[in-house]
Amino acid sequence: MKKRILVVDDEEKFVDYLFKRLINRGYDVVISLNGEDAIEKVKSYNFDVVVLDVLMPGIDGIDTLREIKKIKPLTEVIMLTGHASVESGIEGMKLGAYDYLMKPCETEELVSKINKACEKKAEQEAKRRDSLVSDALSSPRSVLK
Amino acid sequence: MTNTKEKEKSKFDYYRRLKWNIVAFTLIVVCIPLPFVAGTIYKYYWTYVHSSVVNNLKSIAKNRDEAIQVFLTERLSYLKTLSQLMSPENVGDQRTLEHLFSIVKKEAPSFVDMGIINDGGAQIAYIGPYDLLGKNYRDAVWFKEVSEKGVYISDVFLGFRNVPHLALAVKGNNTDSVWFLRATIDTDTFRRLLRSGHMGLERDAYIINRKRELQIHTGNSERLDPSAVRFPAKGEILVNKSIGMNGYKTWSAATWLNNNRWLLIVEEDPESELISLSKTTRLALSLLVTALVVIGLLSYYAAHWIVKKIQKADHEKELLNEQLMQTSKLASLGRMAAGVAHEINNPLAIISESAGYAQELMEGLGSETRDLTAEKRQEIYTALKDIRAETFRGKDVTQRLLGFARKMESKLEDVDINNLLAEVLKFYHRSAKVKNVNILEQFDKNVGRIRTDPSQIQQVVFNLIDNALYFLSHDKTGGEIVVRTERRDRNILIIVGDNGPGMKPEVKEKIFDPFFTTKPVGQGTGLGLAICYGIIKKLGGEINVDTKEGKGTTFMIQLPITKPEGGDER
Repeated sequence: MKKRILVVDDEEKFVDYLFKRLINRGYDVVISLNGEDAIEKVKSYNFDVVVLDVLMPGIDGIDTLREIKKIKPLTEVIMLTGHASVESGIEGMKLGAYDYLMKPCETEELVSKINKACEKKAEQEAKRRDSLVSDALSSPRSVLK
Repeated sequence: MTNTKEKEKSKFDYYRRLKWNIVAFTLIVVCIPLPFVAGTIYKYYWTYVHSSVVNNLKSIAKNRDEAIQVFLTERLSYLKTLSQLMSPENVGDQRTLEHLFSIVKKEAPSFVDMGIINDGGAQIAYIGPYDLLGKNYRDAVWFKEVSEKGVYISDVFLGFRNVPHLALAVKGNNTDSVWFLRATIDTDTFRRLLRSGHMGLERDAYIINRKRELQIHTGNSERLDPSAVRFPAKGEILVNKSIGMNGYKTWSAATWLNNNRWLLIVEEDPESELISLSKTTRLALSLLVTALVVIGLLSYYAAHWIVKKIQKADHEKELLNEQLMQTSKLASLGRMAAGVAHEINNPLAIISESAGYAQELMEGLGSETRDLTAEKRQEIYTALKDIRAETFRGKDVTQRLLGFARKMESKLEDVDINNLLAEVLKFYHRSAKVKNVNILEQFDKNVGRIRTDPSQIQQVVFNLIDNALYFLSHDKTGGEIVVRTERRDRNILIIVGDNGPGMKPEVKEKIFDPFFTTKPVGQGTGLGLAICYGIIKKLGGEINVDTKEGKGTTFMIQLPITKPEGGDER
């Protein structure tokens, strides 16, 4: 199954090229140019990883991250900080982002982080499934809940 | 160079003026009460000295008056006693008269002669140095008066003997016959009487009669003009201050004596008495002048010292201000650097991605064949074009940074204010967008170029826009900053307004104070607006703020238009 990625950045060209390169690497990629649109898309699809720019007009990256974590807590988020400062990245980590990268970044690095994030998500989902299964085994009634 | 020289000169003038103002102020404060106090003391002292001179004069006059009165009464009572001692048989007897005269003369040497006159006015007995026996006084004034009143004291007159003298006469006390005892007194005795006592050399005494004829005069000087003497009321001592006959100043005390027939005048030149007053006055004046000179010198040195201190403090303040300006410049440079890094990173990210993409196409990643199909060629071409475009975007940013760095140096230039503002606003283009703030430019084309310091104007506008952005980002509903220029008379206006949260009046009062800030600890130094204020004042302009809580804040900078000069510009 293809991994589903959402790329969010207000620089259209950047998003375009990243989209093409990730497609070439066999990901299922959706793009979004601002926070509001990204939140809508997260609501309607199940993404494995969201690549999110911190500095955007409208709802900024941090707020978008907060919303995404509210809607889909298991979806992993990788922050892109345009700033030389790492503060916004660290803030993102505190809010539950998987990792952050500074722009411009090596695509290979990004890809490896995406893959690790996907693994982490898969693990989390497996854990959750296991716990559901064990719950169901220990008390079959709980399935009905 | 000439500019700094002129500045130095005007500063020097300022301190000199300050010094003289302090000196003048001190002198005025001191000089108003000092002569006032001196004048008051002088006036009281003058009054005291004058009244003591007058009282002295009066007491001498009274004293002499009494002495003369006693003298005359005594002489009259001698005569009365003598007349009573004479029996009707020996009246007119020369030998009895001689005997009695010799006794009286021992006690009262002032008697010159003595005679007895019968009711017909004929002198029937006489003793004295003149040959007056048998002279007839029937028609003399004194004879008539003594017949009527029984007692007579004459004025001074020459008489038969042709020597000034004074005559006393009493009526004999017999029942059956009328006769008169007459004696004369020489005026020397009288004069001695006047001069004795507290008279001294500088005083004179006169006696004049009602016809202003001089009777007796102690004769020290000729200062008094008898015709100018004013008569006092009965029993009163009249003090008169006037100019005498020889142009001397003369003070006199006049009092009546001898049944108000004679006027005794004690007169003196007040200069001798008042000499202590004039001495004191001179001393006081010289003390006053010395005091003023000393105060003047002291206040000059005090002012000199104070102004020196002020000058030093001003100099230190200037140094501190310069340091502060430098610090704030560095701070704004730091902010710039952060903004620029961000703006350069964006095109770099695109370049990196498109270059990476082109590379991947050439390597055949993601497709079955490594052949460059026409479609792939087109993709690579587009990527290269994008790389070029992004490179120029990056170059644009570095250029702007260079322009900014060049303007960090502080110097006067002919500056196109609209251009300068447009350049500053470019830096905020992205950060404003990120914060959902719309920056509007409303530039007046008439503003043109003025001679000013572009780096400082730049710094002020940076500060104002930074503040506006900071406070607008607190509430996220469509913030707006309007940067407007306008030409008004001899000034140009730079107006930076926002529709942010505004300020409370008590905050508005303090915003230009150093170290005042409403930002959280660690985010504001409280120096930004204080520095703006300092810069605009230094450039000869004004900065004002108009704000209303909940409505927004508008800063208005007013800069004078100074003629651009091309001379010393490089």
